[in-house]
Amino acid sequence: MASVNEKLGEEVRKQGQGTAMTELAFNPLTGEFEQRPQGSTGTGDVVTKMTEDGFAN
Amino acid sequence: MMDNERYQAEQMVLRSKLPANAYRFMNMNTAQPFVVLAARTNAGNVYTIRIELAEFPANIPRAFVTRMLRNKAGEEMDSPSASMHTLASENGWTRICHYGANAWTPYISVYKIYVRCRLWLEMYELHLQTGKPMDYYLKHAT
Repeated sequence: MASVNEKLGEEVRKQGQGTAMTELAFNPLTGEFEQRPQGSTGTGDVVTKMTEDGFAN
Repeated sequence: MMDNERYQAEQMVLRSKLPANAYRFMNMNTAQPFVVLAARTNAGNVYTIRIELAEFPANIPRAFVTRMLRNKAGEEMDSPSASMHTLASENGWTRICHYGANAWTPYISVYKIYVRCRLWLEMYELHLQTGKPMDYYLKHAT
């Protein structure tokens, strides 16, 4: 069974590929990343664009 | 180097986002200013990120985890690695490759760099767990 972290990683991967149904948010109050359905509301900053844009080499 | 107006703006953003004891600007009136920020991963592990601000915001600032991290194989993460999104280390610290030249603009805040480094740490811990390279999770910028 995949851990919470593995699920997060797989969603981040899918976001990078443009196939995710979720978005990634960073909640500065808890200091944690959270996945939530696209377009839903919640606390924190949506940072899905970071995964979509990718990281430098 | 940041002008005072930008410095105030960066402080304001961090103040609104992070606890006061989670970050500290240092050496701001010198040639080597930097900010250190605490980062706690979802698993509860704590790291310190250091972002060097000498050429910020005109150029991409160097960002480090202030210790030498090791990969799943136990090797030091001290050299440029595309698959692990790292650059050559300095001072014995692992250097994170965050924004690329094509993505960098002077409007990117210290907070955004911090969140990017925080995401890098999250995927680093996942790499330790699964053995998959970090670029399995974090794609390369185009």
